[in-house]
Amino acid sequence: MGAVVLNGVTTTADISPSAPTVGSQFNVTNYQTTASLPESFISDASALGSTLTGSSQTQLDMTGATPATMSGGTEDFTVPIPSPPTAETMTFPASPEQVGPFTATQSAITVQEDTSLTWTINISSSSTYPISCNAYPNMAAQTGIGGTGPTGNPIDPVIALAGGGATTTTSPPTSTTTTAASTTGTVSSSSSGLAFTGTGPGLRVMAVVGSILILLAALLLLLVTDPRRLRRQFALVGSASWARIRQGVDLRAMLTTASRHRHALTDRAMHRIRNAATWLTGR
Amino acid sequence: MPFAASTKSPLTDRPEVERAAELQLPAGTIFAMGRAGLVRRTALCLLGIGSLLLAFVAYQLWGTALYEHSAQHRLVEELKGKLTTHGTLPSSPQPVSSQQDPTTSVASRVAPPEADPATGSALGLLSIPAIGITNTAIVEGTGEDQLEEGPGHYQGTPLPGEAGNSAIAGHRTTYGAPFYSLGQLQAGDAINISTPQGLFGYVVVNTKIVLPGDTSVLDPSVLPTLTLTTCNPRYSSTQRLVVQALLHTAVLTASVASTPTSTTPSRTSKLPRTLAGADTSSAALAGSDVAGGVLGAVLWGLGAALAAVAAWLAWRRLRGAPRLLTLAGTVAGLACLLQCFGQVSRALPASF
Repeated sequence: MGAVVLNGVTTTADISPSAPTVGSQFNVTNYQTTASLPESFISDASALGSTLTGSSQTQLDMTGATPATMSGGTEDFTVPIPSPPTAETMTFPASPEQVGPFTATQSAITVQEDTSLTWTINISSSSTYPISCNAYPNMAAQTGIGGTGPTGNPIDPVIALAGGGATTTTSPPTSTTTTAASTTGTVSSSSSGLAFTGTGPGLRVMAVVGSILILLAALLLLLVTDPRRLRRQFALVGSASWARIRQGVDLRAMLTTASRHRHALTDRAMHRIRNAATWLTGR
Repeated sequence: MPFAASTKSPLTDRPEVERAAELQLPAGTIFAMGRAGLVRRTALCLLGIGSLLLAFVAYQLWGTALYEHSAQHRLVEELKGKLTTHGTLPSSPQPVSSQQDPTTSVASRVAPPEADPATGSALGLLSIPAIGITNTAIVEGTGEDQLEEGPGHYQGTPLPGEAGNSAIAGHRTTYGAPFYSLGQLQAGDAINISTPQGLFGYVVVNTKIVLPGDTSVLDPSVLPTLTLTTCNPRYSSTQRLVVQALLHTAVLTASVASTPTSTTPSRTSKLPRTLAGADTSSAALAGSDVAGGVLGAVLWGLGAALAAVAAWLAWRRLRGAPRLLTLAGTVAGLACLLQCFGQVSRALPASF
């Protein structure tokens, strides 16, 4: 299925208190991630059930505070699959959560979400798929499933800064692509196309030409065959054998035999033969 | 029986013309008869050529199934010794069977990568209950020769049941048309594949139509995926119909289950793939054996013509004689014609 690319994934967080002094403790609050799931993704997921469920494991990287890293915890998510499928917004955790406490080691504090996220999607009640995710700083890749992933190096998006305590969103919004852990990226194919498994145009042309030839032949046969004779032949088919047809309508045979037995024929028979020859040849 | 048939030409048989004159027939009667005979012969020639063309089209659409059935029989026989009994998977996706540890993910139950199978060898049996495909043998490779025998596995993609995106192509209108109804598959339908590694159940998640050059559907995937491709629309090759399915149930054989598995292909030969069998370049699409095909077609065609002439002569000359000769000649002619068509198919490019 290739890479799963989600554009415009936004993570928000606050630092509370907003301006911790060196040596004081603080927490990362209102930590929440929002992702827009495209319709194609929802359509694919609809085969798996009425609800897309799973969990996300994140990690926060701190600058100017200890510990330097802390797990963001495992946040479950549940996305109802609408029917017919339409784009959905996935938010995890469902309600903003708090991560901490941290101890400030300097006044300037930066909170980043580690690029390596781990998602787990529940395919059925007992089957799960682990997916590793990376964040990218641009939205060059198109949202969807099966395409190529974003180019460049993944980043650790900044989600909060100390000083002022304002909510900080990643700017610009990041792309998140999911890839298998040991896959070294999407590779291009050396093939020039998918396997040929159908019929080419030649066969169609052959069918058309064959049909035209048969129709033309039928037309020519009709032109040289008097319709009345044709009707008579068809009438004979129903009541007699093909042998009788061959005996009765072969004009050349009739002429030859009539000539051979001319002296035995009556004038009436000769008249009939001449009439038959006339309308058979159209003269 | 008052008259006997004559086989002489009215134009060239001078005595017959004289006889006609003797009978005082209308002027130009004999000439008209000759002209009508010429037109009739021309019409019969056109009829014969047209019938041959249509017969070849019919052979391509339906006659090639005979070859496919024969090859399938051979492939299934080849698989008999390799496949062990795993039971059967349900025709519709069900929760993971009790034979498996429900706490582990399907992704971790995929089969370990196997050595690349030989081109043309049988890989496993494909069943798609929703469209009536039952135990159709899958052959390794998607070249012309392989696809004539059954659905072919794209070389370079993982084998069915392994991690990654395993892809299979199949004919839609010729050679038994195994994927004739592939377009009827809907999300949620089950696809079951039995291989020497185990029994693997996939569930359809996506169906789409792409251009023939869009090989992105064969790209490596995050999830254990099965991709089926065939030509679209039917009786055409301008597009490709693609069905994507996710691995849902895996029942590994005991020997395979005891070996460590990986959720991703471990061999670099799988990634990146070369898709050797999927090479649809003009060279690859050329007839599989042009010279041999032409020679065979000519020889079998001559055989068919001889048998037809023999049957006709038996019909005309041996009146009252055993018509079995005519029947035998006709059957022999049809058999030769069938072989001739087969040779023509070999000589023609796959994209014909």
